[in-house]
Amino acid sequence: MSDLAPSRPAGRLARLGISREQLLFWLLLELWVLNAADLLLTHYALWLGFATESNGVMRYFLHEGTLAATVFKIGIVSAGVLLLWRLRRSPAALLAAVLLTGVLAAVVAYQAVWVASL
Amino acid sequence: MVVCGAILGVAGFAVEQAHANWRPHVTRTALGWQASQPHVGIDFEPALAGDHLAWQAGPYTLVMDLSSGKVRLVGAGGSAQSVWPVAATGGDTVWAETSGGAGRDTTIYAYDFATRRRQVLLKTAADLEAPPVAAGSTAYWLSGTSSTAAVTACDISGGRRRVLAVGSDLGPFLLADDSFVVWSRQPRPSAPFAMTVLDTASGATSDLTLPDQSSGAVFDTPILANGTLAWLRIDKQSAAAAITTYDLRTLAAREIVGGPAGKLVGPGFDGATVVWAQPADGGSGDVVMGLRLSGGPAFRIAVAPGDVSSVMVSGSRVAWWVGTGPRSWIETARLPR
Repeated sequence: MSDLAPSRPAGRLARLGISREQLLFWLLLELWVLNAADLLLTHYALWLGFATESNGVMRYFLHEGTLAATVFKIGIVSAGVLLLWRLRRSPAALLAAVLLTGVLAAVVAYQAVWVASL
Repeated sequence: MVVCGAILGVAGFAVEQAHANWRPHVTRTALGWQASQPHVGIDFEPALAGDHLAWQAGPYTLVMDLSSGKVRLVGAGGSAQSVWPVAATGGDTVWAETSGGAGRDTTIYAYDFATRRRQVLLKTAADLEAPPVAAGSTAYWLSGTSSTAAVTACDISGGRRRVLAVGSDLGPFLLADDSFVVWSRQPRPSAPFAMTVLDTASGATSDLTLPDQSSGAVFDTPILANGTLAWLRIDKQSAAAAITTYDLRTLAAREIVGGPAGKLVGPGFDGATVVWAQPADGGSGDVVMGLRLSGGPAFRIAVAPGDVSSVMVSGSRVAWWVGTGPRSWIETARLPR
């Protein structure tokens, strides 16, 4: 993700001096950080004894151990992030990053206030 | 996008909580706090330990931090068909939930006030014979089948379990403090009961006969703290009631207060102070009273504008539950110095 050369600026982004690739880069970085936060919050909620993992795949890896769950979750999202970066010329990559980041931000925010309320 | 998502997540949580029926109505009073459960009511006697008050409302188990008034939902009941009265120590609250249906089982939970961690201490298909109790860092329960029951101790932090007694006639009482565990044995529900005392330091057990136990008096709401039993004794023939303490080390009994049966409520006891409720002068509501075992006269703590169902004390805090069900509430206060 070192290639931050400006691509064709889109109208509103251009006025802000941000290229589409720069926006995609920051969105993917946020997505990766949010994924790590989701992992930490899930672990903490499980440790607190109030949560159960509803995702069957993650439940399997959590059952296998913390390291397995961490490697899987970080690994699969890192792979997805790299894939979107490879597809950065496609408008769909930016749209996917926007949607994924927004949804994950909502999930992490919900989880954070819920854990704080326990 | 992150900010939009975060706002959406927080807003979703706020909307969900606004529609939650577990949330109590909490107000600050001149003496402490008042809490009620307008949607689901309060079902059992609350438990007070230090700065924490725990109670059950419908399928929910809640803990209130009395220094801040913040209430946390620690047990949501889920598929639980019934919950059992909650117990509390300085560090934890312990309660049980029994699920309904064909796969009926009972789960005993512990919630640590400091770490806010909830643990499952036991999940069993056996029946609970008495509500779980807790003392220090240990939880105790009485569980069994139709033919035999067992008193079990469980280290709350480590989860290690130890069976203290097995028998076919154990229950209905199970009491514990930091030094003793006391359980009753009763062959039939209407039969006279015997009591066994276990000294947890030495492991020695002994039989215990309470004063007036043989006369057929009713032994009600027993509580054990600091090596002393306190209970409400009701004489069915004379309709007289008395709150009595009995020191398990010196075997000295002491009558704290007497009165007509049905008028005295309690006792609450923390090893140093006995609290109870009695009708207020003039017959309007109840008055919550206290007496320190170290000496001094009985003192008035508060007046409740209703029938007190139970009273409890722990250190400098006292709490009382007024009424029962959806119209009931809990009030707290600090003990007068």
